[in-house]
Amino acid sequence: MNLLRLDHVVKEYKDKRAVDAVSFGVRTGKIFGLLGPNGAGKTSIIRMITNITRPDAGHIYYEDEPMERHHIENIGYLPEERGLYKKMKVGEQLIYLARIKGMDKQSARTALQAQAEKYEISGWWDKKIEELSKGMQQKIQFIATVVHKPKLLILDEPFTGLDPINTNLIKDDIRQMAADGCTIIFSTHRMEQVEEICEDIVLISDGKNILEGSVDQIKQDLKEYRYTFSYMGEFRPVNAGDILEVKAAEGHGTLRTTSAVGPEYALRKLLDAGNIISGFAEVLPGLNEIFIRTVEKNPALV
Amino acid sequence: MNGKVGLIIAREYWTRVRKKTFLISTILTPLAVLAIMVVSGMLNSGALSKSKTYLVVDETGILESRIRQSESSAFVFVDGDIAKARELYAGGGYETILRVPAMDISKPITDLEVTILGNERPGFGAMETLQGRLESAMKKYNYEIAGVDQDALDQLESDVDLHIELMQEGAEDKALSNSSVAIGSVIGGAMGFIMYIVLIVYGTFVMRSVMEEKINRIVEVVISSVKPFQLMLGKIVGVGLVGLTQIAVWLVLIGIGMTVMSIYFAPEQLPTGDITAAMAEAQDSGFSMSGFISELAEVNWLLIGFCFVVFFFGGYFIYSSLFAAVGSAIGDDMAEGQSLTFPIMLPIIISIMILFPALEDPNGGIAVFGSIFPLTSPIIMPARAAFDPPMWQLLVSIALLIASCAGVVWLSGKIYRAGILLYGKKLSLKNLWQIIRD
Repeated sequence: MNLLRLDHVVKEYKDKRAVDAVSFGVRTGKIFGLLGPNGAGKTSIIRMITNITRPDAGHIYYEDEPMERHHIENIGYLPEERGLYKKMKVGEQLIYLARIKGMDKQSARTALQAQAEKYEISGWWDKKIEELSKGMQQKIQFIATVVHKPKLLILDEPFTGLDPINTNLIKDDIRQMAADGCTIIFSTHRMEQVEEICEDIVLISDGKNILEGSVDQIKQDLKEYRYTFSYMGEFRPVNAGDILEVKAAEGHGTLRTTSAVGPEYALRKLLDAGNIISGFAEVLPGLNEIFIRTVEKNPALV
Repeated sequence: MNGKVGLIIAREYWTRVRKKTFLISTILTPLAVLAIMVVSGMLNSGALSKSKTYLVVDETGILESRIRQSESSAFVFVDGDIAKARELYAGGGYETILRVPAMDISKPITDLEVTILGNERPGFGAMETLQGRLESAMKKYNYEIAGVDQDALDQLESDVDLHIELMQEGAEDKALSNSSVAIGSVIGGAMGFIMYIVLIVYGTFVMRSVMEEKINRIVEVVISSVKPFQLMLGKIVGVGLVGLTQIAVWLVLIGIGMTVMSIYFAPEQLPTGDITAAMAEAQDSGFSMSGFISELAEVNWLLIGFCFVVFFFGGYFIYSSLFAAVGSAIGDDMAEGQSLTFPIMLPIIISIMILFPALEDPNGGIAVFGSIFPLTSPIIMPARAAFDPPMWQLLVSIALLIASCAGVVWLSGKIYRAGILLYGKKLSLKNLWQIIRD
């Protein structure tokens, strides 16, 4: 089931169509990657989902109801351009941000204190934001985003400025929240992070949806039928109609077939030629590669 | 939803009120006002100016019995010639020597030339005093010579009091006198000035607060929870409450300070001679203390208070929402901010410029226009209130104020909503128009 669905959503600015009839669905409880190059329209899409701006055309549905203002209490949003009130104390600020999300003072305090323990920031409760390092501020901001236990969490580049330890802490938290049923939209340029945590993605380029689906499916769809293998002894050349290219040297090799045949065909041909094969694997394209390939292929950009 | 505006108001209010700068300005301002009052009071009462003693060589012999002596200006008549006076002067303790040459004293003296001898030039105030004392002494002598009876002359003097009676319906019983006009001007000027300070200072606070959220980039988090309009409104109300708190604290502190001062500087501790003299001079100009107090009680405080409250809120909402819109549009470029705030400052400055002509002629064209036009009425109408403006003007002015308040807040809300999300781009007049049309 989709928690969120966009149906031909359009956003226009003075001289530019920033979002051009974009449609996609976000499955409940999944981590969803919203990807695209700079200026593709990701932030415009997020702002419409968070009700900051309204679409000029098209519809957004939350749990199959047209998105309305009251739905935003179920959303936690960590914008890319983020900040906190520098002069306010950590505790006061967190309680304020939780309360404008609809929590009452007491439950906000209880929930925040639990989070503060977890992120080891209890000692900062009475410190002003400006006294903290950038990384510490990031942690506070993340806590502020998730404290009201949103059903939909939107994270725009959440790991910038965080050290590896805190990145992992938050990554684990994101996975745990998804396991607990929270739906997460994760927007980033960092493909290795997408590969690591996202199940579904949509790729936006120049305001258009140019690719969408589950990460595994996309990789299967866009694979180029490449394989790597290891062999022992002398390599014996392979010649077969569906094998397009074979390279081998010093015990390792690569092979490409047509899309008509599968891995078992490639492996059998290697063995049939008399090779001693000690390893064989299919090469699926990385998201990074898919990203670059798809965006460059998209004529709208040129 | 309303609860959220309450949260925004509370945050805006408490973070400001707890700031050190707020505490300092709230406490120091009334202290400064009191200090100015004490100093100017002391200057007026002469407590700060040391008493001056003059040596007089009077070769006519008519001054000694006729010149007024006082603690601040005393005259010592030298028994001898100018050489003797120089000797005394060299001994120290005297301001200057006044030399009045011998002349025919059998007829009234219309021309008197007095030479002032001294090591330093006497100040302007001292010269004024000397001239005044000498002139009244000569007048006394001339009356005697001409056989004019001073007392008889005094009895013939007539006190003219101007009483104003309005011929409007129901206003006949409201008599206005000179002193109530004076009181009206003082109260009106003070009201206008307070409004001016409030609009500029707190309008700027609202603008800064908007800019701070935009520069900090927290605004996007906040407006994903509340509507931009709610955020703007909460901010304006919160800052406004800070302003009211500050004014209330000022009034209380100044009130306490003045009570303390009036006990400490009780009249009997002032040099009595000067007080009676000052009273005598004041009486001459047609001013009476008891009259002043009764006039003060007759001022329409209810109307003034009502006007102040209505125009305070109306003016504050109009201008602070405009400042909020500008704050949202400029971001971190202060220079650009200056050029955008100028059009907002302009009507405030014009209001102050027409405030004094309006007080001088409270029913003239400028005053009537200024008190009805909604961008100037917040300053001019409270100032006019002490002069009992016609009811229809008041009603039209309030109606226009409320209507334009609603319009300006709505318009500013639109600009604000677009402006706070605009980074790195200048908000030109062209896209401003686009935003308003959307």
